[in-house]
Amino acid sequence: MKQLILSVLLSFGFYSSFNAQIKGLVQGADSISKKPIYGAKVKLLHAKTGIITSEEGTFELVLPKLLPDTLVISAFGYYPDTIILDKKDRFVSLNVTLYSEKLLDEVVISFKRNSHGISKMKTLHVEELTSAELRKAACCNLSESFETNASVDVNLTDAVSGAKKIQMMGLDGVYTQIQLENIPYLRGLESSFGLQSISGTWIESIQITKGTGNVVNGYESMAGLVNLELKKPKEMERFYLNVYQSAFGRSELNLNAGYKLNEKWSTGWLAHASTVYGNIDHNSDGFRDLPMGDNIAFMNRWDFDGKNKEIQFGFNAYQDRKVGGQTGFYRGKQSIVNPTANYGVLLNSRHIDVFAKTGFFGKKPMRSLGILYNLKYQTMDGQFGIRMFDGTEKRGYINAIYDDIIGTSDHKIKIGGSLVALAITQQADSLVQNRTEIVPGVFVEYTFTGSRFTGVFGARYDYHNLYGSQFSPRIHTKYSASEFTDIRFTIGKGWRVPNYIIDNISLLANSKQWIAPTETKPEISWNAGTSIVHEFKFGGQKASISIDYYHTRFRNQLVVDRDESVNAIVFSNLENGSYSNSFQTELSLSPFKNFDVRLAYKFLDVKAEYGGEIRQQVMIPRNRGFMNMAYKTRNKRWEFDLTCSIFGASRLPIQTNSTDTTLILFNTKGQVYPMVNGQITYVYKKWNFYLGGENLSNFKQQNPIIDAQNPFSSTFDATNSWGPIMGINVYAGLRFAILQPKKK
Amino acid sequence: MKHLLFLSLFIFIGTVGFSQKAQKFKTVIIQTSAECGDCKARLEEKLNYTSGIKFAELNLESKKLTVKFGTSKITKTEIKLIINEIGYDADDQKAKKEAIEKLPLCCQPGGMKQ
Repeated sequence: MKQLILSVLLSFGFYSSFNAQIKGLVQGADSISKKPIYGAKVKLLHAKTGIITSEEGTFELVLPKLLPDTLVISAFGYYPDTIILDKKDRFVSLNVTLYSEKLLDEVVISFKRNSHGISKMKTLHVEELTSAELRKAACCNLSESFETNASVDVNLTDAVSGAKKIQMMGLDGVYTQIQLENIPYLRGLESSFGLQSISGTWIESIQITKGTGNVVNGYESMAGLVNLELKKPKEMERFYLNVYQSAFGRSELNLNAGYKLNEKWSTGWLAHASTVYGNIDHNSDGFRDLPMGDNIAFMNRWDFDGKNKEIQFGFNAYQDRKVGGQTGFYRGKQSIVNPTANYGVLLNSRHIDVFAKTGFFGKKPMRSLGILYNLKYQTMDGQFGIRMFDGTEKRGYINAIYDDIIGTSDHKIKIGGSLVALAITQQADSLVQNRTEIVPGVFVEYTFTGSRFTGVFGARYDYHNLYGSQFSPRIHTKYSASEFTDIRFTIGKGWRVPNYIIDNISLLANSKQWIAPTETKPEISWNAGTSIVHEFKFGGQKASISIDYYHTRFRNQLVVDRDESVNAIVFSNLENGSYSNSFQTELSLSPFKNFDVRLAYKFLDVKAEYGGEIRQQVMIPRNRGFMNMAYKTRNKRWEFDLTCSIFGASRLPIQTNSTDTTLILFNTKGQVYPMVNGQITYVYKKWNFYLGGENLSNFKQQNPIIDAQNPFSSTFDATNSWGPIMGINVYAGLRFAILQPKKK
Repeated sequence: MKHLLFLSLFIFIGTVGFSQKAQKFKTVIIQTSAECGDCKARLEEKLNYTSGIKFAELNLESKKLTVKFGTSKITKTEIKLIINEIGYDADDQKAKKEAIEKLPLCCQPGGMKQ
């Protein structure tokens, strides 16, 4: 009966005086109300220290040097509760609810760690994918990590490069800010192909926030925010090996290692290498279904945990080379005399990234200063047939956050400043877009935590050297209607400066001329949304249902118009004409022990003016259904997972009938199609063996490339891919892990 | 045809996981002295990899361990002995003293009530 609901309010404040301290509030709940408990015992088991709560139910306790420790909270007439505390809990203030012994048993929920779920405590609507969820699919890299999730869509950008892009709320991935441990990461040059630069085995967890994120993380989250937490040197495996092989000729090798050098220092090593050597053309259109190539990535990071400070630093390097196009095309074997002998696609991208984080705890409780530093250099070049492109980006970023409380921990405040310095060059065909950006910014965020209502009120002001000032306010609120029902509301502004060449580089895979925008203007959007999450019991097991709706409206958007002309792609700035409505509902159940089912439905209404008419965005299906089933045998040795999605038909850009000599323009639609993925995992002690299948229903888009026989003709077009190109893929792999030795 | 082959292979391997040889199984419930989630993980991991045991599951609220095993390979007494060796009481059979001392403090008897 020790498992009780406990609520840990995350506060970014570091809590420390001379010694690290922990503070919290103990409340008692019976069937009617919840009130602070006076005189509850709060004890640390190892340290054998303890204290009694005050009349307000609060307590403060000096944390021992030796952590983790177990905190036991008990009071007469209530079920006791325990919390394991470790070093990172210096960041946490505890809010513990004890349940009255008079309560009936079913009110007390036994705690089970779900691999996927919406955090009950966060004010923002944050979906969390843990490493257990990522294990359900091959998840070789980040673009595959969202397969078992309905909120984020991952689509092929074209039929020849194999590149995948995410979408949230039906909006292109560039409107979702992706950050690596709170540092804005896949942006600029990497917004198109960067998802492949992070190996799935590096990821500890992923947090998906719908709507604009916190102001603290910058101004670029417009449709959503995806934060990646990588494995931490202290807690990661001592040694981890992953080998993967697919029937399509893709091989992967991942090696991780983490070492604790002493009490303070630890270091982590993450390495990835993969290659696609299969020259596969199952649909016999003369083009590779999947580009060949190789990919290597490496990361080394260091952590220092001091008494009053924490430091992390490290670097990562990455190189990816892809060779796609016609099956006869190979790197370096292209004829200079006859460049149109074979249609070839080359994509080369590489980066080096250095980062550091420093945190200082104040002498007063809940006071701290955190600073993030990041330097990144990246290049990208390649070709689609005879159309060449390249780009370089140098970026420096610094973000300082000061945390404090006003009076009590019910009122938290964050104040800070950031500076972005960026030099980016891009070139495609004869189009050039170069710029140097210096963007200083300041922000303030106030968090109010009440017993039922929590609100985060933030605002930031940025000054862009080319586009002037931008003020971005954001509000997130959460109201707990009952113990089991949370209602959230969010509204906020986000903006970004578009890179029309790199953001749309896949559209070079045709013979259409690009018509550049007359000027580059920042894209500005407002997003508002609401969500309800309700938890209930179904057949004695925990279940939940959620409904959310978000509306995004662009005050200015760089619209890619593929309907205006059949011979050209027109880029133009559109004011107040583009919007997205996104509705999603998700039900998760455990019909019987160890069997979890998630069902979701999503409706997307994404419109703007295309070809002089308000139309749905191309390649965005209006409806999507999703189902994920997971079963684990009772001895935990076998895991079975099956994910089925059904995508509605999406609108395609205007086309001409190539077989006709007279030009006929017509609007077409894609088809409704299913996508079925499954995986079986066998766990044996330190070993995991898995066998999986992708696209098990074997649905393939017919003729993903228009006029594939004449790749250099004006009618050739490989940018109309709305569905899978490859049929059933089977893969197998193994994981081997030696955990860090546990302290007694 | 090739895809069909892959699909049937996939399904075949899927079903192998469920199929069982004809064998006599027995399910017993053993009262243990487990204290916390750590104890649960320790007990289940050891027993689930013991030959003859089909599954072992601990209910943390009642401290009752449900074990299903093949009667020709292992007996209830043997299972209880394994539990004692890990450091926990099993019904009336007491845990080994040396084993208890090896457990972390919170997993020792009364560890969660101090």
